[in-house]
Amino acid sequence: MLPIVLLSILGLVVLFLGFQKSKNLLLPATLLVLVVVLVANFLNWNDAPSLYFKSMLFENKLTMSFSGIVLLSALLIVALTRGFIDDESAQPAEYYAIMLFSVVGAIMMIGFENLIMLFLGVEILSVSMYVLTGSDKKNLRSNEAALKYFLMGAFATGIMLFGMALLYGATGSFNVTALKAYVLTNPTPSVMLYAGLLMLLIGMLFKVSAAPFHFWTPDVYDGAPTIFTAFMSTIVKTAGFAAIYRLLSGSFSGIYSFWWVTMAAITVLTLLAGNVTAVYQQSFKRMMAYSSISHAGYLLLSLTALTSQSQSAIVFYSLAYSLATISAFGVLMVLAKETGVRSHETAESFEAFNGLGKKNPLLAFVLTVSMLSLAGIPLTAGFWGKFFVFSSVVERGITWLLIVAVFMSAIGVYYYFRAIIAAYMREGELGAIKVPTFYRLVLIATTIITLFLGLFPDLLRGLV
Amino acid sequence: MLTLSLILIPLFAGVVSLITKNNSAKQLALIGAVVELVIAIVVYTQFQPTASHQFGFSYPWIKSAGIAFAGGIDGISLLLVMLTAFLTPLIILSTFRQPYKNASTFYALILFMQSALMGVFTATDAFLFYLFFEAALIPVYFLAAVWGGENRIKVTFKFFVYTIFGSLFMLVALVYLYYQTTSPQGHTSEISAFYKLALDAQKQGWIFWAFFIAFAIKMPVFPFHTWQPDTYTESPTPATMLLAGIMLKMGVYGVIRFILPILPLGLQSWGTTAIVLSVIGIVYGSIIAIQQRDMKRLIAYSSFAHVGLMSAGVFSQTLSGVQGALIQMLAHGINVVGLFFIVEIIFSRTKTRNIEQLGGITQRTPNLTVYFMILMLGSVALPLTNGFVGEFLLLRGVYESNVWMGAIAGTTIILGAVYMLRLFQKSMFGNKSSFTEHFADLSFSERAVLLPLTIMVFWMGLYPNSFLKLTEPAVSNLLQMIHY
Amino acid sequence: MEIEQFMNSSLLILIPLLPLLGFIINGIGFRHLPKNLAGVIGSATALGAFAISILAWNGFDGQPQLVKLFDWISIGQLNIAFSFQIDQLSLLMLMVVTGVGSLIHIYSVGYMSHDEGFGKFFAFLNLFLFFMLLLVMGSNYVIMFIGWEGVGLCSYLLIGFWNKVTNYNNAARKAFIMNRIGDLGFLLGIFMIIQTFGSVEYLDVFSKAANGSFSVNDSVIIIITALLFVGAMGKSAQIPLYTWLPDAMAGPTPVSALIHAATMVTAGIYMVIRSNVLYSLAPATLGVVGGIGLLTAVVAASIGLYQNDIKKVLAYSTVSQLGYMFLALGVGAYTSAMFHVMTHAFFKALLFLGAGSVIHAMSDEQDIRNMGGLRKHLPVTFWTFLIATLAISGIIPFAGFFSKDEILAHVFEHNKIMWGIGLVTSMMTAFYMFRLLFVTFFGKFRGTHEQEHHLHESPASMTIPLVILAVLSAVGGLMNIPHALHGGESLEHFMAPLFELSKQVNPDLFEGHMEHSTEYILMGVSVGAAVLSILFAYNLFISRNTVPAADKDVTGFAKVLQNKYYVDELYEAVFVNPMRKLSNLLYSFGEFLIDVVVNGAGRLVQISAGRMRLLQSGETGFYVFAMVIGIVVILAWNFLLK
Repeated sequence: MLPIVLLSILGLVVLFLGFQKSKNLLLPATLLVLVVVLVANFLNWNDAPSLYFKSMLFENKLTMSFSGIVLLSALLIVALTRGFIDDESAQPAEYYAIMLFSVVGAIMMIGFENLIMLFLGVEILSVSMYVLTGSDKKNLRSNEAALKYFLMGAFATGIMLFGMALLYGATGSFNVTALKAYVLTNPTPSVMLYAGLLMLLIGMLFKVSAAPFHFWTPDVYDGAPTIFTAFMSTIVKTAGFAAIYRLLSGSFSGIYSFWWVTMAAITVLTLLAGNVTAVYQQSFKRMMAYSSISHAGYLLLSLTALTSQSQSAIVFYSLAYSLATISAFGVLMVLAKETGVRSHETAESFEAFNGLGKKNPLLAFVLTVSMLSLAGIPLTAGFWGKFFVFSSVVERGITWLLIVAVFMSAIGVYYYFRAIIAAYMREGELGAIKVPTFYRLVLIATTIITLFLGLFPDLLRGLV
Repeated sequence: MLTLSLILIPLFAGVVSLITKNNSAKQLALIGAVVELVIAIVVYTQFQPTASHQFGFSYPWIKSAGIAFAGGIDGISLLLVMLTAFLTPLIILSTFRQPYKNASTFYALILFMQSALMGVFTATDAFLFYLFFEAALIPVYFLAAVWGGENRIKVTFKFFVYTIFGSLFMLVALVYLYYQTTSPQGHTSEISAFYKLALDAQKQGWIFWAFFIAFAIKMPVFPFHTWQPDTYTESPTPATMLLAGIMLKMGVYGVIRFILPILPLGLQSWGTTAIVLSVIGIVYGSIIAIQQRDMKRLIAYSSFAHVGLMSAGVFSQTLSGVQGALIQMLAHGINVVGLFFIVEIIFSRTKTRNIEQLGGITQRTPNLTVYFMILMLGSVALPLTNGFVGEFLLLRGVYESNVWMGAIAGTTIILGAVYMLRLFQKSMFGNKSSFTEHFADLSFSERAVLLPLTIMVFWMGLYPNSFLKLTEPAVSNLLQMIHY
Repeated sequence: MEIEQFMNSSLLILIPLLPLLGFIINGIGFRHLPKNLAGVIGSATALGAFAISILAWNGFDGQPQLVKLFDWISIGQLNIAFSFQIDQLSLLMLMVVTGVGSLIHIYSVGYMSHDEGFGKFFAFLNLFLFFMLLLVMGSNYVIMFIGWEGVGLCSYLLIGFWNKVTNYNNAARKAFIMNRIGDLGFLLGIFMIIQTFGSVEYLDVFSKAANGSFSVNDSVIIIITALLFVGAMGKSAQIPLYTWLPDAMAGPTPVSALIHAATMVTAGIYMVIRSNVLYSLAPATLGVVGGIGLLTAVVAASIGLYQNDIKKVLAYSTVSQLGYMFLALGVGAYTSAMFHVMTHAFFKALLFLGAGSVIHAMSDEQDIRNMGGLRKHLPVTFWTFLIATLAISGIIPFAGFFSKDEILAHVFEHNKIMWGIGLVTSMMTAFYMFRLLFVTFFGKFRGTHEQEHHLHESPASMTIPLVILAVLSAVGGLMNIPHALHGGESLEHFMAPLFELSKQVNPDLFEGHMEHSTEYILMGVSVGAAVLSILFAYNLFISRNTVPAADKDVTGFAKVLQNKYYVDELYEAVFVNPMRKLSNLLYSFGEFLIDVVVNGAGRLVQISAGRMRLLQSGETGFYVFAMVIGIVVILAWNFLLK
């Protein structure tokens, strides 16, 4: 539980640093915090699974892995803020602090043992996101996105709470283990439990932008400052899936036959909505929004199958996806900034990459690896993510679902490769691009890890 | 170790090429490819013609998923390894008169491709096979899409998405088979473990199609071929050579390695369908080739027709058919690379590939005519050239399994003559045109490419047993698994 | 002892190897070797092969001799060896091929002396000899097939020898492709042989065929023989695959003599004789063979009546004579067919070489309407040409008389109507041949002054082969004089061992004996008919001095004949053009149709993407609405419908 405590305290410290007008210290301080917390997160790695805070939070290798992914993503994204966050906001300290706090929420979502904690975590994370989405105060799109996000998020929260209440009514407990025990001892549970589960799931599925609860995603991702889009599409997703996984496998695996069809239907819808609509997009950023929906679909695939493999599949997939997404947004931000003069549309469209291969081979390569990984091409981490997810579905034997997924993957190749084609095969009028050292480090790191995991997936998969 | 070095040497050479200067990249790439060829020759000389895999290596790789980094060479692999090792240096050499932009990347991609191809042909682990199968696609895609002709982007993109789509089905099939295996350590993805599976007919039917689509797109088999003529035409010639000379063999190889031994019941129900599709492709491709004007496109369609015959031969599940397919893979690789190179020679001098604009080249360079003639004769399967042995065995194999299909497939020897002779006549014979008036004679490097190819045409045609003997034990072993 | 040693040694291999060597030397060095040297190499290798063939003939002890070089293609149980078989049949063919071949090589030294492709020409001729020798020496069907296709290639190369001329190239291509159509039949026949007998070796196949497990007219054997015959139809220019041969006259004239008259085109007859056991087992196929042979003979002869190109006349005559040979095969008269192959090789080669000499003298003029009176200028050519014409017309005692008479006698035994048609054919033959002779060599010269000025007898290298061939055409019949004329039927006896198995499996085919008196009558009738035709021709072209009409003045049936029954046009309309159209159709429409599915899948995704994008209206109200719908559907499905 060290990460939660540390993050909360150090987050406050960062906030106070902001009063000191020493803006230059903010970024290093935040990074330092995240590094410290990342290390702290793994301190108990070899310990037995344990409960904290009067059985409110739970910790084992799985939760630590998810937390690790969240923290690593946060670290990488924060490292990318240099030079961006101060353009888009007047009070950087607040945003750094909010980011740190939101990670607290994410970790709570990952480690909840009691549904109350889940709710708390979701809300901490969500509220932080609402704020960050609207952080570009002068930008109308940013404000609109924040408002939309908030309105719809509130609605979803309501549904979720309702579900929790029903569950409590049915079982008399908020505790994950207790819920599991109840399901096991009552082979034919009441409608109230079923309804509660579905409501709770719907609330959570909203957070991870599963169809048909995904409509907010493109608008919000598009409207939010790119750096926070990256933040949302990685950290929220990872935490959300960790939570759903823990819920389904921890409490409700006993009534798999009840919920799997619903989940399968949502999976198919999500895959379709994400992949098919992504094809149409002219804006790279918007495409990435749909891409995040489609990856939610693949993760749902593994959840729907829910076999012994699913756990490691989801961990692996989340990491692979997060790394590739951060790379992609990173490249986009550099380009948008370096070529600044152009309008919002062109800066974020596929055309922004035209001729990148010639002007800056490094950025082009980073982009390529990231797209390959997202498309699930072998020798990248993304391939193994997809491989493990598909494996779990094969193990469960839901062939038709797999066939849908295969078709969707092929479509995925289509839109991800548009970026690669733009970078290498189209002529562009890009000027010289200067990539700040910090940036370069982050991008190289994400790329190397992506390739490394593509070659040796067992390094990660063997752990959980 | 030898096998592993076959995979690693081109990879290493590719990386070195990537970081060298553009103007010395081609020499470096050639050296790398020649070293590879030497290793392959060593393998060839030390190979024992038995059914087992030799020069094997195996390292645990992804233990949690039972995947090993394991490879080895049996007769079937050896032939394709030899093909790859033989053609790659020639393909590199064929570029020597043609400056390519970003040469270091260009040659690195060729070498990466070679590495992946070696991996495909030697992998003994199913997932490793898949990885290389996909990995081979990336370099050639970039070669085609970056250095290709006008419509390259659209055309190669279709090719890429199409083939990826196909192989995803194979991936699913492989994962499925993986879960069917049992071993003391849990599941395993050794290909040989797949051979021991006995699935029921319905499952085999499904898996058959999953594999078939993947391989049929790769080869390509009718009606999965529409990417192919465009891609061959638009790609830069070295990429076309790689695609037609080696890469399409991955599909045939896959059928031999996976479909035949693993899915006997699937073949029972669907083998004839596959043969019929293949045979349709032979006739269809040949007929289309008759009226083509673009030399590259013409050869592309002829290649499509030829590979249809290989596919039909393999699906005939006869010793003759499979052996024929193997020898024909080698022969076709040699002939088609030679023919595409000749197209490139002509194009580089005349700036046209339209046969209506050519003519009378033989008056300017009899040497080219002779090489072209030899390769063309190999391609139309004249006896004592390499093409004959393959087509003879293939047709016999198809005939053995289905008389009518054999007879229809046989029309390839007529139609093949129709379009190849037309191509040859229109370009070489007749009066010179304004395009061919100042046609320069062959350069040294061009001869250096064509001579080895023509030597192989005759070697394989005169003494095919030196290749058939290598593969027969492995093939008959494989076929025994079908007729259990 | 010496001879035995020779037989056992690898010297036999030299027979095909020498021409191959000649090909390689001339082929590699054709641009660098001096002309004389190239000619010497080319001719010497042919003569060498001839010399060894004679040695082989002398050393032959009556038993088939196998010489195995190496295993060529091994596949499971099937082993196709690269090996040769020397027996009566291959020896006879060897003599013809190397003998006539050598003469034509020598002739070519003179004929081609001014051609810039001299070395190339000899390379190709040598290559042809090599493949032809493989064809006749091979000990199994696959080696025969190598030669079979190889001679087809050489034919292609030599027809299109002057490759600047598009028409010649087209003719070459046509020849190759038509041959390939036949080859497919041959190939399928081989597959069926493998399937049925498990071997392709002649001796294996024939002994298995004759071991009693196949009855006469067994369907398998019928199919095999029919398929093989398809191959023969292509190579030996039988209906419907004959139209390439007249076009093949585009090649240099020695080529026409060697390939398209004396040797290659008789390969089909050789093949049937070689497979006589199979054919004897399948009288049904023999019926077809004979029928097609007869039809070809009469159709080609009738076309020959109105041709004005000296080589075209000879070409149709060749087609017609080949038909005659198949007619003989059809009635089981294998020896007679072989006999005619040999005599025909002599007189037809002679005719072509003579025609070549004429063309040479006339500065490449080939239309007989522009010739006339050449007798005075080209005496040697004229006299030899006359002998050949008499031979082909079946005038006693020239070679053609004996072989043709034998065929007609056998046909008469078999079927009187066929005999009648055969007789009419031979009358037509006599007519058009003498028409050719009279128009070319008699009367007044009708060419230009320039041509007249250049008229000269050909050099010795050309006339010597003419004379040798003339002698052979005159006395060649002696090798098989029938009993009726108190001859020894030496060829019949020599070849008899070849047909022992045939006689065993189907004795009926060889039954029947003809009275000598009947034979005399038949001879008398055929000679009389020929003489009648000649007199008719004499009357027309010498007495009345008629010159064949200009093309535009030809009307009625004659026009049909002159235009070869419009068969080329028919093929063009029925096969070639539809194929071209189909090709274009498949390319434009077929490919489009298939691509519709592929691209359509892509389009479908894009269109649905466009539609689905519209859902993304940006209105929060709708989003919430969608959520509510989703929730309602999920709950309803789970609690109401399930």
